[in-house]
Amino acid sequence: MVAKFAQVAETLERMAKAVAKNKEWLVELDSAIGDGDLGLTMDRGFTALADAAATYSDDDIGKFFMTGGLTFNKVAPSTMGTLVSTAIMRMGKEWKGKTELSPEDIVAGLQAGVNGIKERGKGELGDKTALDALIPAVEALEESLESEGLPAAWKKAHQAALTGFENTKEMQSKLGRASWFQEGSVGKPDPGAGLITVIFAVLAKDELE
Amino acid sequence: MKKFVNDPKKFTREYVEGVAAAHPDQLRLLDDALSLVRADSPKDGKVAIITGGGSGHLPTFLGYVGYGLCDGVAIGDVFQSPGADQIVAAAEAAQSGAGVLFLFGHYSGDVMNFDMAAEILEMSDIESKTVLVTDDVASAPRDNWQKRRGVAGLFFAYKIAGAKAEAMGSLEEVTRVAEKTVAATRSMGVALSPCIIPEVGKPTFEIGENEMEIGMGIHGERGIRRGELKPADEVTAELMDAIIKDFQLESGTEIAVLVNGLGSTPLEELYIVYRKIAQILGEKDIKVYRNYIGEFATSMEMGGFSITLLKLDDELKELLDAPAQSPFFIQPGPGGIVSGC
Repeated sequence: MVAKFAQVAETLERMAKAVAKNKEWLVELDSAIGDGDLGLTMDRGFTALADAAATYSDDDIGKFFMTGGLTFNKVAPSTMGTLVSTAIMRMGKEWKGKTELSPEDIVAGLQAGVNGIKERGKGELGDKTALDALIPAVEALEESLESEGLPAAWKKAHQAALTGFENTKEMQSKLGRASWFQEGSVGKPDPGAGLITVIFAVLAKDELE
Repeated sequence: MKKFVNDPKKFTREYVEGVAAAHPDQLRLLDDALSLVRADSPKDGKVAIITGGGSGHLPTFLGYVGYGLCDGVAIGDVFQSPGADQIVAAAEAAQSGAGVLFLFGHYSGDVMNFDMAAEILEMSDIESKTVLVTDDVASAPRDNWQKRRGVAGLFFAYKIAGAKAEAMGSLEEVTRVAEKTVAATRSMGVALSPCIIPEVGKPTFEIGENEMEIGMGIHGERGIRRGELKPADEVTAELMDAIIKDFQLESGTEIAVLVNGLGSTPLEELYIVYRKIAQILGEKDIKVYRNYIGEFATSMEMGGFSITLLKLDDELKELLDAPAQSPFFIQPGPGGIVSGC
């Protein structure tokens, strides 16, 4: 089973709608430990990305993600926006020249995205960031891919993202503006990890909670 | 909030448009990106030095785009990083194929956006290097100096790297002198009163009428200690002591001194501070080769000042002496002539 660009565009459209639907929730999460703009910037970014996909006339998936990273960053230059943009660009590099993606390509692309976020944000697992949901989700996807196939693996990944998101509640922020709140961040989940749960719900075609 | 603004949301765009309107002979506004480049850029064969950061610190950052200084600047909102696309636009407009040096203060948002810009430029085969300014002694311990924030010491990095680039140094050479300057620069500040970010409308922090905060950052980041306000000489001595210790400055060393007002500190007070600095350095037999006194890196209307020392050798002295000119900073060359501008 391979994914062509039309399927990528359709997924991005569902993703933009899901982020828009969860905008207020993300703003709420971010207001508790940050400056509250996460929902707004992510809504702008994912909408711009989906719009660009809808009008993309090529079938080169890598090229789309490469330029899509810039499109995203332009409307969402915040910290989280830059991290997501980086992930998108790194996926583009990984998928360079590809007109279709195998499940293995998808995993490789997501891993490149994770590495991009780690590198750019200088973050690791346990720092109370989006990585705490993203890394377990990508690991779960990879682990269950071979035995269960992609659709089931997406569901496992979504579950792992949700668990990771829950786990951020008890962590203390070490990076970014939230770290200024230090101990005050304990008890509140990370908004970036919240965004990851929305993205993986879309990929798993699960209902959003 | 009492401020001369129109729509606080348009604060950044409107002041940048004002700067562009005032100095079209020296600066060119890249309107879509809200970035500025030198009017005479790109200059054939010259390394382009690109800086950037949040607004609220004039003359930093855009005030140091000019002859013998930087070639372009990406301008963020007050205390916010500019976007990678703004940085790319400035770099593309100012570079001539000889490479780009990103030179800016160490803040996580800026680092991310400049790194991203570097990655984007790489795709179009534009080579870039990055040097972070990390001069604020109060922001991290000495053995961790590369994690320090960048404050007024940015000025020395611009001045030295800018002179090297103007002398047609290669990207490697310009990067080397920029790194050398950062390693030889130390700053520390003290704050008396907060500033108000126009879009926020409230003071960035609270501080008592008779209190000062030693080591506070230029966005109001927490300093080393808060205490009762002391006479100028005592405050100056405390800052100098911390900087000299961190530096391990020895007698006979030659240095440049920068006394920087944070926004609402009168020049008179800065000179009272300089008087004490000169006394302290005289006692230690440390020679002042050049001094700079005024506003170089502010924090809107914050009250307070910072002291920056740059340890010099022959190479740095020559580059520091080179002429420079921007709408916000003029230094004549040897013989009193601003040559080449």
